[in-house]
Amino acid sequence: MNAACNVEKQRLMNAIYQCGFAISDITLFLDTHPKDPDALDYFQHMKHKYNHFVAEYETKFGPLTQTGEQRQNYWQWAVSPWPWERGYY
Amino acid sequence: MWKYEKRLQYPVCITKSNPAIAKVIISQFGGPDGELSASMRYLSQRYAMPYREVAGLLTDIGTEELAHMEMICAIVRQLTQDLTPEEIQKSGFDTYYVDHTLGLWPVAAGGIPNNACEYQSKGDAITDLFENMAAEQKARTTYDNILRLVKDPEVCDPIRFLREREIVHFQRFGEGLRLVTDRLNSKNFYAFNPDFDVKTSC
Repeated sequence: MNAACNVEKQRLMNAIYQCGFAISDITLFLDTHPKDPDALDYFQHMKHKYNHFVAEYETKFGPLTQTGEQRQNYWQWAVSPWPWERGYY
Repeated sequence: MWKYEKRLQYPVCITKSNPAIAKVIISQFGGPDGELSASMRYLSQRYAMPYREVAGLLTDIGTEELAHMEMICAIVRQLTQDLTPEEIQKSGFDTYYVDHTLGLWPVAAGGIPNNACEYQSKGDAITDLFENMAAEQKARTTYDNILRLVKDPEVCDPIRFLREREIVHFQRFGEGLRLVTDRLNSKNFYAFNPDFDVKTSC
């Protein structure tokens, strides 16, 4: 993988980490505050951003879930690196 | 039903091996207050939780704990790569290596295998939520103890993230407990078990 590609991959993965964390955290808050209007708005906002970054990442670098965007001619899901490998990020 | 997302909850990028510290950190995989026990505890408790928001909380925190378990395993994996047998012996990791090589096995730092006795599930909403609040504090203490021993910033960073999540989970379980007691008789929260006893009108 060339350097420019790596930078782009890290940029998108960073955005996914951030939006994904915001979603995990606000989910727990909403479980105990299911009618909080600000939290509901924040969840919608972050979900939209998250879906956007995931779609862009999957198109460029491969699937994050089995049903995510991947190449037609081989099973990228299992062949691409796994998250616990050094240098996955 | 679960779906796997092919990323960690928070990045783990450790470039320097350190099997001695891996032997300590593995306690948060298989130890008494580790992430595996936390996940199994909450995911087991949720079926007998009579209030849906709190059952949701147990589901979502139990799921997040699986992601934490994966982070701990990634940390241990990355700390134990590229080692010679001599380095393994010198670090004290040899007592683990002899049985598991570099495979991940859920065990406490002291060598006690993961034990389902830690998956406390009592079938009583108040009891289970107090259990969980204590469990989150015990895990936070363990992370504090780990942070006193770890010097490498690449290891401290994800450990600090995990420590912070224990505090958030403690807060949410406290709110869950309040949601439960709000629905019970404030003169005697323990008058009946809302999952088991039929409430009488007297």
